[in-house]
Amino acid sequence: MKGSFRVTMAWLHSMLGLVTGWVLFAIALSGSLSVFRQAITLWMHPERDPPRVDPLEATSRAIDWLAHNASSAPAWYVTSPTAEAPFPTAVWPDAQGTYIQRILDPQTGSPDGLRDTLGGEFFYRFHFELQLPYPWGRLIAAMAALALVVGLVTGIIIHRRIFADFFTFRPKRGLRSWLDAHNILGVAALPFHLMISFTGAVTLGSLLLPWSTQAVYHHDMMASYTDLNPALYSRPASGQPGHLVPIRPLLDEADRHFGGAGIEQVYIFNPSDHAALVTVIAGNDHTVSTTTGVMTFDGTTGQLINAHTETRPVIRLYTFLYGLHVARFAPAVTRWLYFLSGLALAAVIGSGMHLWTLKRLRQQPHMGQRIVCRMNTGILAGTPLAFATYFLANRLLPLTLANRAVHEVQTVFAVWALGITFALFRRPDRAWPELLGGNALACLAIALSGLPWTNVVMRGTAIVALMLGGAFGYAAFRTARRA
Amino acid sequence: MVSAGMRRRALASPGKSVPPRRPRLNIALRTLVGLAGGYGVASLGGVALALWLPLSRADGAMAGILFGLLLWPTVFMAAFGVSGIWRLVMVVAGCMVSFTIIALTAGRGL
Repeated sequence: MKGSFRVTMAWLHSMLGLVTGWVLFAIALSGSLSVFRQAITLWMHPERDPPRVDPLEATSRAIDWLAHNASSAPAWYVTSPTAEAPFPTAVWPDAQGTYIQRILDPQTGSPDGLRDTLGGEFFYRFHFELQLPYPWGRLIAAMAALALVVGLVTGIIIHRRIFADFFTFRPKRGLRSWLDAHNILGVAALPFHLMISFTGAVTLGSLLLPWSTQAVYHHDMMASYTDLNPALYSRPASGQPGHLVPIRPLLDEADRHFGGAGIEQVYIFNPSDHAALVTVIAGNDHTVSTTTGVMTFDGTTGQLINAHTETRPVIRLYTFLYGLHVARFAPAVTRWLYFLSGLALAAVIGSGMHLWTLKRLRQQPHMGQRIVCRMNTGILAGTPLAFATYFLANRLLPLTLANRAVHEVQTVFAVWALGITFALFRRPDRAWPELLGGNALACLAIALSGLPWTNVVMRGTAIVALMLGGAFGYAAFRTARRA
Repeated sequence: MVSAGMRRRALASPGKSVPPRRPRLNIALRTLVGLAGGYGVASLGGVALALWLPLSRADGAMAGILFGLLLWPTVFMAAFGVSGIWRLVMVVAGCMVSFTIIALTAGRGL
């Protein structure tokens, strides 16, 4: 019985990997890159190495710029600079209601002279929205996260000798070596993988399982939003013009109130109206949890309307789990561990997918298995290639191109589609070295396009790109020799 | 030592145990129970916990979500781990009925 249970779990593990592997690989890879999304954004703005400016000062300058240049927008959402992102980011709807996102110069508060790009935000949004319309991308990502939880738990059940396997690697033995690699990578960062998959599901939990909220609030979802964040007060525009108070004193007051957590975001609603509101959200200094405090001020008088400090136990648990996943708290060393563990997760998923095909290709594979094999090649080698070309598109597309940020993202999906199509129609033993070689060249190009490596972001990116490029080159060489 | 190695290899390589000698209908039913039944148990369990917990409304709702996120993967795995399919259906239905009773009789009330 015990043996057959393990056999069943092994079957479930491989079937689940077959069904969810492709999307999970893309999510794990984009998630790993999102760890350094601020650094990627900096890399994508080589024209300006932002000076370190006091976050509150930079935020109020950004809001001044918005007051002069986007005064008719119904709302501005400004993200304060942090140690990782020494620039403010603003999001606001234009006259057609399309949201514009720009990083702003911390000294002038203006986006002028900075190229139009989503920067690292692309990987962050893709990680949980998959470039699909709301709510489908998020639902798929949430289900994929739970599938990963099941994949990890069944993987643990299959392995009785987790500790011994950690020290077992038998190279040059084909299938056995791949299984050993799959096990070592999976075991090495297992606590992280379990944490990141479950907390990933937690971040999208209210979308996936809205029923407890529906039951408690008797289907009054507005009440649930207000209750979740009591200081996120809102009111309609009055229709009478108004003037925004100077923002800096409000930021100072909020900063004192948050007691060292700093400021994450400032929302300004109806900025040119008499009923303007200024909402300040606490940051992540010295706290894992996100959104530990919120304050809302009257925008025309500067008077405090509402302040909320999070003390409710289960909500605190939620903001802690959420904070663990998004890692806004993380100092540099922790970020690197998140990044490496994330890449290890992508490698576990990738090696698992590869094991599946290796095992079946040894026998007489039928048509479906052949297609899966080629799709695996396309996804495993095509996804990093597509992500790498995003960096190159940032450097190669003309700076004056209209909708430049959109074209950068389109490049990713064009290259991805090409890579998968190529893998579908090319013999796998040729497609592997060719696509891997393409990855190696793309990584080399990324490292070189950061020249001269003047700051830590350019140097760090170059080192990572060269190491990944070396790994891709080695893999291309190995697969080419076998072909 | 050799035999232990052999046994381990057989167990530790997913896919080698194919075919699992399960008729397609059986697998389809288990998938259905794991996905739909699991979602039902997760939803009802979350609602029951949310209504039963003597905490603030926001805390209750959030506890329900977190509990549901633990329940769904558990039921999904059980859907393939429990040996008899009828036993599985009875257990999942039993969980759903129990959670519904708890939700209906809980202090906060639907």
